[in-house]
Amino acid sequence: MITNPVYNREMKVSARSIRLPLILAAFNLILAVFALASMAATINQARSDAQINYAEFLTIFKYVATIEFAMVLFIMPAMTSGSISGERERGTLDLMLTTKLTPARIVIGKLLTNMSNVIIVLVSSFPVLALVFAYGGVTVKDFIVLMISFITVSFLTAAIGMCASSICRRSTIATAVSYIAVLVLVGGTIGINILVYNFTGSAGKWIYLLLANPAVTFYSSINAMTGNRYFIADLAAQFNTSIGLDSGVWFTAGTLVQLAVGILLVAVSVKSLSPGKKG
Amino acid sequence: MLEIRNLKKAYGNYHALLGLDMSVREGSLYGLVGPNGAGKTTAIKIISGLLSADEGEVFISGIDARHEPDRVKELIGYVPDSFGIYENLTVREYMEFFAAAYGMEGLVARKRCENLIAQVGLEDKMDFHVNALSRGMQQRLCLARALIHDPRLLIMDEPTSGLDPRTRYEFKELVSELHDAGKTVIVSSHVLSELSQMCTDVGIMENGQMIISGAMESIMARIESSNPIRITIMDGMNDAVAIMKRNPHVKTISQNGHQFLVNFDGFREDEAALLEQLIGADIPVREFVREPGSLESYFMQITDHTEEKVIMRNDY
Repeated sequence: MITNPVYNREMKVSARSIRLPLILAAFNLILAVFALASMAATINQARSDAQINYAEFLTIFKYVATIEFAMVLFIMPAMTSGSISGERERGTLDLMLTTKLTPARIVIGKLLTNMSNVIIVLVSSFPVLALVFAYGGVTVKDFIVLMISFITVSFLTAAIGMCASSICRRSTIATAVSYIAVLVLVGGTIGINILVYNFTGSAGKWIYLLLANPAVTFYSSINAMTGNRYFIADLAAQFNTSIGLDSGVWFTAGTLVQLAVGILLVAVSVKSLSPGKKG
Repeated sequence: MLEIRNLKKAYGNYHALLGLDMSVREGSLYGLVGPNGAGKTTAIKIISGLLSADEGEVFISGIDARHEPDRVKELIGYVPDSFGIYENLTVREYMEFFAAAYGMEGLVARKRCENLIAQVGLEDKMDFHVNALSRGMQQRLCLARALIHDPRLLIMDEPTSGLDPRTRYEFKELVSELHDAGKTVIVSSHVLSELSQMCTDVGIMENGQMIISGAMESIMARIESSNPIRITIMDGMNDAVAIMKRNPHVKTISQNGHQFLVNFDGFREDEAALLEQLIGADIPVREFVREPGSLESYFMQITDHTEEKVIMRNDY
């Protein structure tokens, strides 16, 4: 058991709350409905023309994984943005800070709780993802890459939520700031490339800004799993530039960049809780 | 126990503390008084390690709070003006969480929690959810939480605000018991009558500075001596006024019929001398008494900067 009192308390409270079961139910319901509907459509097609197109199952896997990724991207800011600001609103943050708990232990305890919860959500979705395994095409390595991708985006968006929660006094504002930050990270990095491309005719080195974009990293790896290893190269070509990284290297570099950004945001959270930084 | 020297803190252009000096004796029950915006909460947060000061020094039991915050945390129990309650935890779990936050675990933590919960009279509520408790009970729980690590200095910021009179009384009794048990207690409050009854020392803050502080007895003596003397005589008004005007301790005289209110800056012996002069002049004195004073009246007097509060009627 992790000896972080904040983590232990949060997990206890979380286990009693209806929130996590609701998230699990909604998350898996959406995934299952989409996966089963796609599966049914593919099988019906096979019944009508007596041909099974196995590539269709990979497409289903791609779409199910994408929906799961989008849901993680959407859920994490909501789960984390009230973490610290909620304590502040309840008046319990000051109480914790007068104990031996350091700001770092408080932030890490909260972060670990949110990561634990998202891992529960991800694990609960294994049966739906495994539907595709029955027909082959997805390797264990692909599955591990997919999970790393999910955990990385979870950590990054959790760090964004924690950071907003530490800086903003109110949870509602922290939630809004978190979603704006996620939007800027996902849409803004692409937007900057579009702007630079439109003004100069080439995105040039700005294309590497997309290493911080978890959606691009995820989409690059999921495309590689389903046979397209040139997604990043194609994307760069659209911005009239080129990159010297293949999908595998891009995935590794992107994951490291996003983890580094996440760690930086966690450090900002810790700093903002230290005495003298709040009124 | 606590020494504060030249403490300064500003929020942007607003100066919350302007060189606060404060001294709290070991074992005292110190009432910190001041109007809203005087800087009490800022001072308390700096003492508790929740804010850093721009300038100045805070020593708790000789330990520099700025340089050794972790050692200072072991010495302080903090009760804020808000209760700070986790609604989804039971009373026992709430206490055990804070015990763990101070590094206590297992049987030691459990025993300590049970003892404190019993001390604040919540033993029959041990397995109740905290949000099921009344405000008074929540405040008592908050006090038990602040005592979990057996601090030497207990700091309470407006602990009785929002409580009904009976709960306030019970809470006050609890604080007095802790003081009797040897804890040094600092209480910030607006309910001055409560403070004057229970505190051994008092400090009055205004505009980020301490304007007066000391033992409650000496403050009350000063309050007594700063109040006007009410003198009622039956006859000889002009002679009485003449005697009073000659007395160097008499500052102002107000008259209403046969009654005078005299602002008198002197000791008890000087008062006796004035009474003797009046009687010696055959003036029939029916009443000669200091107006009763209170911490409230004194507080109002020294924190109100209108030119003059005493009505001066120079109709003699």
